[in-house]
Amino acid sequence: MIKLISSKAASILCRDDDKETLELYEYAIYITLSGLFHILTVLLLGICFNMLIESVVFYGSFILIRKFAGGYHAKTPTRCYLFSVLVSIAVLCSIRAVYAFYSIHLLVCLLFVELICALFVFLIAPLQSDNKPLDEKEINLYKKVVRVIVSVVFAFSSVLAYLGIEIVCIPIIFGVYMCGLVLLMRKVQIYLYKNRFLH
Amino acid sequence: MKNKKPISTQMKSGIKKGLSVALKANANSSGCYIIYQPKVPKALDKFKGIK
Repeated sequence: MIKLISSKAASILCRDDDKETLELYEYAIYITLSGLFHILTVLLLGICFNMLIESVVFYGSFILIRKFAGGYHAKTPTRCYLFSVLVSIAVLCSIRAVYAFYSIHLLVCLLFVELICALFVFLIAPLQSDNKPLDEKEINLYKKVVRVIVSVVFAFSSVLAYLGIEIVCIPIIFGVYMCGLVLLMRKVQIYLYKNRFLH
Repeated sequence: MKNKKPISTQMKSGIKKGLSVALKANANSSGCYIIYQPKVPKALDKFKGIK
């Protein structure tokens, strides 16, 4: 549906332009509308769960790292949307569970796991997708950017944990978990793809 | 009498400028933050900061 809207909107916008410009703006409209749709869904889920702040902070921290780290991409937009919704619901339920069983020991465990995920992101990122390959210069630049971002995010979440601001700290921790998860999924996807061609 | 661009042309120009910001952001990152990355058009290369 978003593809259809993008196509029609681009054809109106680029009526006097060449085919290349039309494709470009169709792509731009598509990614803008998809992004907005996902953000609205996240906000709606946050409102439904009565955890709007947590929802926004989680998604914000996830986007911040993922933008440069890359990771798993679904093969179709529908799968993508379903995956995002399911993961958002799972994360919000997990955050609620953390609040219910909250203790200093639990917080320390969460931070420890976050450190492992952050290290994983630090070492593995960026991972390119098949539809948007990266050249060597981009990989080297994004590697540095991701390392800085994930270090800052981890440090920030640690400071917030120390200050007792769990409403922001815990969603950030889950944002880092998600980044680690999508990178791991992409790594497995690449490994399975390579093995399929070797055997 | 000055020739004034019709509002629709001005609007299209404004929308294209806004979309160019989205294209620049996308070109200078590893991809979409959503879990689906559509195939990028070749013309996106002109928005890249690294060449």
